Amino acid sequence: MASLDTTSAALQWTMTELINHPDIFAKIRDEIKSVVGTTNRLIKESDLQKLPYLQAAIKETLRLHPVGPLLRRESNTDMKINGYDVKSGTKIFINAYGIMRDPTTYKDPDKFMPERFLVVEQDTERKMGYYQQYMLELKGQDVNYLAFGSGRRGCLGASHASLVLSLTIGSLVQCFNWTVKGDEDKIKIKLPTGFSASGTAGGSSLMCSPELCFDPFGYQTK
Amino acid sequence: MTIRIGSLRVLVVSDSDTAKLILKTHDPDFASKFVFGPRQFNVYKGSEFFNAPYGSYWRFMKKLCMTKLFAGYQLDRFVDIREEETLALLSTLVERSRNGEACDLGLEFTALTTKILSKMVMGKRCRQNSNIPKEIRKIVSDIMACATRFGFMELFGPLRDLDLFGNGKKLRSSIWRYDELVEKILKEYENDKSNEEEEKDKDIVDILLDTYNDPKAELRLTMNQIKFFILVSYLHYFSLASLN
Repeated sequence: MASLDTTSAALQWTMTELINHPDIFAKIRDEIKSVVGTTNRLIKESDLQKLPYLQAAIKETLRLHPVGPLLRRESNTDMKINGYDVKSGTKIFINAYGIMRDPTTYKDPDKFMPERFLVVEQDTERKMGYYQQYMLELKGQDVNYLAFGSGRRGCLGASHASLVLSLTIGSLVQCFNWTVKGDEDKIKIKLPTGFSASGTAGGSSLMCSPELCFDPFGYQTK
Repeated sequence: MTIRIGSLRVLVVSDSDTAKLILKTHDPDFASKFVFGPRQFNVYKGSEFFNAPYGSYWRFMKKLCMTKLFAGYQLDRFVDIREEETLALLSTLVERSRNGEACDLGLEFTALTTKILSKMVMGKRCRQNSNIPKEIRKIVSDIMACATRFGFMELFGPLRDLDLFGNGKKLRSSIWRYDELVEKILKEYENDKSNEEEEKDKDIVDILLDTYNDPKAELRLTMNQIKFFILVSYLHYFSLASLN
């Protein structure tokens, strides 16, 4: 059965996209190197806000592969929406998957392009740091991005989840080169069926080989 | 657009302008969530938080989450847990690469997130018994497996209240197994409660039990609500998906 753990599904999707896009993988590693500098240490949570490209890559993964593709809501009162009467108790699906692949909002919506989120940042009028803005957007301030839902019923764990994702992915990119098991060098993405959150090669497993390129434990393991 | 799934009619919103009206402009009026599928097998009926209607219980729990469970000292504690578990994952992977072995990242990720969550929720028990994350994981996967095995007819059709394939029975017995385990854990917590401990050492179960024992609390939590809260945290891992 497919992995039903949402955070772990998101981790798998991100690694899948990064292994399939070696150029983006390399950019993230360069970004980490520039932050860690010559100190030769493993990245920490406090480094994350200096890693906008890593954050953008994760955000882009969740845009393409949201673990909650349909948001559920139910109305409490009668009201009018777009001129239509909506009765109290109406059940509603908000198609987050569709909205996040809408070609009128996202150019080349099916392409994996973390850069798109870095460009948006320059256009914004809000005078706040990239990281604060990033956190706000994760929580659905921008209705075009709904990976964590939005509003009162938005995801409570959004910040925690995004920290787990960034720290784990960042460490895996910093420390290892990854190759896929088998003859092919890419992971075939099979579209998931039904409500499954995970749709990587072979269902839930993501077999690949790590090749150490930076030893996080340094002298300790020698 | 409306779609019909069996006996259920659902309105589907696929453009961001309408989504904005619902999620932002009229957020409070659409602040309930609907649930589908059979619910009679849930032994904690009525103790739901994540899918609870927008009412006093839901607001109370949300406030508790924002002010206590996921705030202050807890957030610092979470940083340590995340860094510690990431290191543990790295050390497994370093070992693998030394031996030239491949690994199943899917499995490694699931182990990682389970351990992080378990330490957040019941860190103290995990320190004393490192098998707890695994045990809970096993039971929760069983519950998941049963809950997702319901057929189309059972989910939406008029036959949904008949347990045609015995799945509901299995589901109920898995939930009872969970109940037994969590009951044991909660008891151990109560027994250890003797000495006053510092705020910063508390984990989520501690805080839930404090709220349960607090006569001045705005709303009295029930044991079932606590148990179900923990279960659903596992089921959705803080519901990236389900809370949406």
